[in-house]
Amino acid sequence: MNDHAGVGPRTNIVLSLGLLVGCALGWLSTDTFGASLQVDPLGPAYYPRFVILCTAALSAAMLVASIRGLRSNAAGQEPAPREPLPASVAAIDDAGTQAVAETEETLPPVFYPRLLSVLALSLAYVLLLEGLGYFVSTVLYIVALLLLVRVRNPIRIGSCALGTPLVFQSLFQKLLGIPLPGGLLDKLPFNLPF
Amino acid sequence: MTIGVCWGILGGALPGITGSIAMALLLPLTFGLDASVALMMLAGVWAGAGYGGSIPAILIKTPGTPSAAATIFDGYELHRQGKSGKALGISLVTGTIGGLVSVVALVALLIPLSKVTLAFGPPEYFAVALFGLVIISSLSEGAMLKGLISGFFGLGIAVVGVDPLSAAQRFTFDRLELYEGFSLVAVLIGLFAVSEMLTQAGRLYQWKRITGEQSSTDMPTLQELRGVGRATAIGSVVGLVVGVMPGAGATVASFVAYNEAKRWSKHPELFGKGSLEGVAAPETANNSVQGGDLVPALAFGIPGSNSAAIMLAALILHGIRPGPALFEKNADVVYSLFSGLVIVNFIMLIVGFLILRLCMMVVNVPVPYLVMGVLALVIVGSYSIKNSIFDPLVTITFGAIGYLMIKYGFSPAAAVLGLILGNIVEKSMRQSLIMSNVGWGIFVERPIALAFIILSVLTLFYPFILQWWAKWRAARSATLSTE
Repeated sequence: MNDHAGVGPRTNIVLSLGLLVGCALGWLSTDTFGASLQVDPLGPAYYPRFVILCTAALSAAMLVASIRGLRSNAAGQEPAPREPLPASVAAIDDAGTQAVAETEETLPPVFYPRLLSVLALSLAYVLLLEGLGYFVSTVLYIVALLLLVRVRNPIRIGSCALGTPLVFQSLFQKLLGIPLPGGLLDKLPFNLPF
Repeated sequence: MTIGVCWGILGGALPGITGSIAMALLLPLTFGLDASVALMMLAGVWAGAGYGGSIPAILIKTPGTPSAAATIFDGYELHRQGKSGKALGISLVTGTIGGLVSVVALVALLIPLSKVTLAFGPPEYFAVALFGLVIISSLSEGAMLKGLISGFFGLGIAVVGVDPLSAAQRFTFDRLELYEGFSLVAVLIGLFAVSEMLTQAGRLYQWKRITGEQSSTDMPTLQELRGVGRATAIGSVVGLVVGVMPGAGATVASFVAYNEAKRWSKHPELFGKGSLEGVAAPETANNSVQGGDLVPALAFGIPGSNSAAIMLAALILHGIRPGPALFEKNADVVYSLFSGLVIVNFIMLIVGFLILRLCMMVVNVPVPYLVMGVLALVIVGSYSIKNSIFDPLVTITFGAIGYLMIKYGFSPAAAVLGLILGNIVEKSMRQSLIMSNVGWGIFVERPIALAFIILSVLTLFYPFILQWWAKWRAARSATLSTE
């Protein structure tokens, strides 16, 4: 299922122009790749330029198509209506419980602050992974993440925060033999069972 | 063998742990075993991983292995429609069939298939990769331009790294981590799983089953299994042929099989919307690759994939030299392997059914916990690739890119296919042009390459030809009726 439902011609024009600028910058970067060798007459820049040219051509085609679409809209033709989404969606209400809607015409609107917060939190988690260690950083991450996605039950938050890293650490480190960073726990004077 | 299968399913189901990694982890344990037993254990891991990768692909849109990426298109849709059991059941049964077909083909056709291996050179590989790229256009119906742009974006991502011929750094920005390019697994998990979890986190909704539909734990019926017969046959053949070509891999096979199954299906319009055939074809292909993969490995000692390389390593560890003399000096080991491959597929079928109910527990997990669990899993899975935080950062970044791609109508699936094919396209193109002294005619002078190029052109223009044909027939009917 596609959440984008109805990207207009103006947006496509902006996207096309952005892609063309990106292609131009990419092309300029290929100047630093070095010259061709006797054993390789094409050189390291040949193939990247081929890809960039094709992308630029497709972006230009999209730009032309979008401009034509914009002119059609301006001439009075109705843009395609936003498709109603199926009645098979249940939204989670503010209490954090699963709402069962009898009829639902559209998905709940995107709450961008939460989406961006989840993204930022995930990035912070990865950056702290080796410093704090896998277990400590994951506990903190899960607590913060569950609070962000509107879970408020402290018992559930606590059990997920402690249980999830325990399970994954056992799976990856003990069973599969893939070491995970100990971080702060390595500095303890005693060894923990996990 | 049962331990191998269970280990393979577990390894395949965990993002970041591919089938070959699961095999490599078990390899030291095979030192003390008889050569035949060791090979059968590793074959069990290989087979199990092929199925294991589809479990998270269907349930949480996270391919456990790259070869399960194509299963997401219809598998995850089936899960959202409350048919998780059917999707998992089809994946298991058709995967088993694919594995069995590949073993039979391996035993019966090893010599002729080995000749096919020799017939494929760089121009043929380029033509096949081009055919694979053309599939991109069919993955994004109604938005072909954006689909192709997404595919070329994937090709562009594949360029990042050190050039294999001249060692020139390309788009590495002097970062050591980028010398080898982006990890396919990290990008794949980001584009599919993280983008979906960001979407879920942004809206906090859950698809609920429409009242009256079957329970999501229901298995596919016999009629449904018969209904995917054609897709299964296509997946078997595609997997076997692609597997014979060293370097092509199960991932390419699964995408090609998906496309071909869609082309020959009676209901192509259902693909991408929860078609059982859309699960059957890629799952059959990614298991039937196994037999084809072993053809160059056993016949020439040339592994066609990482998994085949590990099988060869196991042979060498037991003092057995792979290659043409293998059948003369160690025929017992080879035939034990063949029989083992048959048995492990049946074991996979039994084990798969037993764990199916366990997997279904994921189906009813509330969205907040699902988001938490999946994000925690993919981050540790990405970290486990190289024990570096770089890969999880790549995963999250591509998760954001994947979200934006979906929001603005581009296709992450096409980007993944471009990334997978990127190295094959570049390497084969450059090798071909070096062979021909930069003469592009080499691609049309070789019959196999020419055949694939013609097929690619037909595939690309097929929808337009159909449209033109339909309009011509309508105009003709209108003319005849007025007369």
